[in-house]
Amino acid sequence: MVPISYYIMLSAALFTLGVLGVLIRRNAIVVFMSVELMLNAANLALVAFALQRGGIDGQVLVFFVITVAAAEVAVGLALLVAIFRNKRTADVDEVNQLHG
Amino acid sequence: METILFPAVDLGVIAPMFTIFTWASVLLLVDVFLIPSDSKRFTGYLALAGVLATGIVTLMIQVGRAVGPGTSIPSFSGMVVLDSFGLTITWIFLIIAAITIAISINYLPQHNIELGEFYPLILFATGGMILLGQSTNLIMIFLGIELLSITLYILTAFFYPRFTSEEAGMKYLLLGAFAAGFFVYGIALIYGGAGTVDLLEIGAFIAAQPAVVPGVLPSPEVSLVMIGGGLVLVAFGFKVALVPFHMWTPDVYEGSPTPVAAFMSVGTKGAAFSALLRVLLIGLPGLQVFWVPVLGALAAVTMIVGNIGALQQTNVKRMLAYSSIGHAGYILLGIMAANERGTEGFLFYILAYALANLGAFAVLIALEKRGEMAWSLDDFAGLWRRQPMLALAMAIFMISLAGVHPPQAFLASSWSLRRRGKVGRGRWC
Repeated sequence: MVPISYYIMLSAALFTLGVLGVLIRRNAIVVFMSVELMLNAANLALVAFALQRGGIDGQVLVFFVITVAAAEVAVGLALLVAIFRNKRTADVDEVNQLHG
Repeated sequence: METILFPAVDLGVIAPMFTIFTWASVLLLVDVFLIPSDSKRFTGYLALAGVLATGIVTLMIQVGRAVGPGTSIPSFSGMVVLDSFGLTITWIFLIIAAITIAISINYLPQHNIELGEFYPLILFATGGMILLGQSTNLIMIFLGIELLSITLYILTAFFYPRFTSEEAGMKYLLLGAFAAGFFVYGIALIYGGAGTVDLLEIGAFIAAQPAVVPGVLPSPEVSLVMIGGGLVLVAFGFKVALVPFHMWTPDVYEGSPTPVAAFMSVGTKGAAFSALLRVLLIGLPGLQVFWVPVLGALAAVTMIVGNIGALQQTNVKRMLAYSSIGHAGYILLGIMAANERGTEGFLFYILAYALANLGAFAVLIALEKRGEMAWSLDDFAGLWRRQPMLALAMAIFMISLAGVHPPQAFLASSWSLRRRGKVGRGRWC
């Protein structure tokens, strides 16, 4: 059996990749994908810990996270389409009319 | 294979949010099939009736279960709890929802965005806030935050096809989803360390470990809980706009419809702070030596940056956004106190702040109605000659937000004096 710590290290690496993606990439769709990566890294950690503990709390939370992520993406993509119709771009740097 | 047992449920505990969610779901259908598109204002009246119905149910539960200080009725395997803190904050949320709907009923048609789903969305968001106020389990807190946030993303971009509103929605969504990632990973680490997502059990787990002191490396389990708690704190920081996680706030308030900005400024703060209060005081009281200095530093920086930022603004909505950042710092002080008086102060402050801030936004809406955009500070010059009552109201709300709450100060001081008199240690009574 693969030790639990391997799963945790993999999930930490995925989470870091997701955070870097959100901070570095400028295309809104790629930013969304990075957020999904963060959420799925958390899911992997939850499932691994649930396996270690033998409980079901972690696995239950994974279902909630998947559902919530789907709802979030539905709203996000709708917004992205609306912005694309206006500006013909998905670059988050060009969506910048509001500033102080 | 573990069999799944269904726990005994007590529907009375979730009666307020059950009422408001049911009302919102039915109202969505009623709005689509029964209400013609030129009289969407009736949807607003029905939503107000829903808030009223929720208030009646809340009152019945409060009286029927004799909820007072010290009452705590958990249900759904301890995922939600009925106590006087939850009920008090529920009342505050219902007041906020009612005022928001009332100021939206005329605002929406004047800006050609009168769509019926606005009002059910406000009800859904309020239900999410009530869930946050009552939950004692990290899964429920996650659900409450996301329910509140996803509806607010839609409401922020409600000015479709106005570009600034879409931009505000997009910024809010990207940062909100980013924060959700931190939140879930934080929960995963806490679960990995403590083996549970129930706040009471997390608290019991930490209490059973050797006391945590700075300078000594804690056990790996406690370290996991600490890192997880830090990530959860970052996510809450994004939601309530603590410095340095506040950058989205001015843009989102400026771009969103004014009633939504009003709702967001007080509702999200109240709900997220009440959940944070439960996480820190029920789940992580054993780690107080670590989170008190962190929160203290965050509160200080938030107050300074929020208030100095507000000074530089010429747009009133952005100024109110910075003011709300500053107020987040003050509210954090009530949580940091970590005792009963701090919690009382927290609830009282949320109510006073909600009324003052909603009032200030309502004056902005009243001015927009008269054809002025009223977003620049210059628009307020000479307001006393044009609209004396509005000018007076704005002055009172501004003085309140500045920290001198005339009516509240009176109430608060007489209340605390009376309390001192009862205890018998009063200097004046």
